[in-house]
Amino acid sequence: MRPFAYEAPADAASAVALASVPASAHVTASVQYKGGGTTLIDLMKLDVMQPDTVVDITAIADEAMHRIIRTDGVLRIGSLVSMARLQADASVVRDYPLLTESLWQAASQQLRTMARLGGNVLQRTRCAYFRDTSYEQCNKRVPGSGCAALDGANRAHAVLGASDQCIATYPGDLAPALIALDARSRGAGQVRPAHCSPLPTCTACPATTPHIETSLAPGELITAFVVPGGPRRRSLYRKIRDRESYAFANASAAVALDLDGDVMRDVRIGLGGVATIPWRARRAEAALRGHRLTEASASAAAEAEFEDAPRAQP
Amino acid sequence: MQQAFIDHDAFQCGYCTSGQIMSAIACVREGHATSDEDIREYMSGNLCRCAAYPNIVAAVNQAKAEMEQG
Repeated sequence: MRPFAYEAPADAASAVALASVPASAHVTASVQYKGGGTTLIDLMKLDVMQPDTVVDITAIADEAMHRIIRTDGVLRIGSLVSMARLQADASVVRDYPLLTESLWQAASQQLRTMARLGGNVLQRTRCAYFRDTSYEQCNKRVPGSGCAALDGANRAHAVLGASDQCIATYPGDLAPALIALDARSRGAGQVRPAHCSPLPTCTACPATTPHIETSLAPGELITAFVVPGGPRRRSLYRKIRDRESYAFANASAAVALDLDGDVMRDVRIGLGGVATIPWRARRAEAALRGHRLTEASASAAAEAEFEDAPRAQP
Repeated sequence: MQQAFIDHDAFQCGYCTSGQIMSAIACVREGHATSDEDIREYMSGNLCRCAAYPNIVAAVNQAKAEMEQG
């Protein structure tokens, strides 16, 4: 592991000041925020990420970043809340099954205890060619070098949102559930002061710039996630994986329904494990909205969503 | 917990055992050792290449009963 400077600021403004260097949100940036460190430290040991400075944000005292608050049907979750804490929050367990289930099925209890929600949403791909520096080609790690996964062992790679530059899968479970609920991210930075925006991992597919994984401006810090009202209680997170626990998704779906009898007045679907970003399945939603939920209508919706995805040759 | 691991032969090579025992104690103390399934889920972050998993679950169950008696 390379030497690096370690900073542990006590408030968000100081953290932002430390991290406001050009391109700070990029894989290759010289300054990186550290929450629980469960992705970053691994990647530093692997020499994939080589920051000069690590800004530990867990010492930040700003109360809003640590709290889970519910007011008027809106759920506001601080970005420094741990996965384990949100998963165990009684009111979230009762009213947001898809959030609880997405966390329960993610990682292991040790990781859920360490990992914070901001970092969880920003976690980096598990693509083996990204994580192993002995492969020279990786457009995320070395911009412009190519993509070894295209012709490699890519069973776990993305079929939605991919390009000939990168097919690395977004691996997280919580973000697909958050986007199904239309959650937004509150951020603070020098370029953009306190503001609310779509989840920063959800805006850009890696068409030509796979090393730019978020829409965060330099130094921008996620302070909270805000979940507006909408269907939530009738919801679930279904995850298919190679092991029953402690494994990333081969495919997952976060689904929230508003039913009138057996007709879907509203339907929200977030997909994980199959796309380069947390994927809102809007084509599938449009195919289902106003219809009865049957195996046939669900299959047709899936076909619509995956219409442009590459197919296995028979 | 250490005695329960010995009683149930919950390891072969012993490489993972100290970590298994730490996680097992936390699993019981945090109230998650309520069923074999829960024990398996909460212990899943600790891999055992000798695959002593059934014995580990048995050890956690035994230790849980004894820890709760104080």
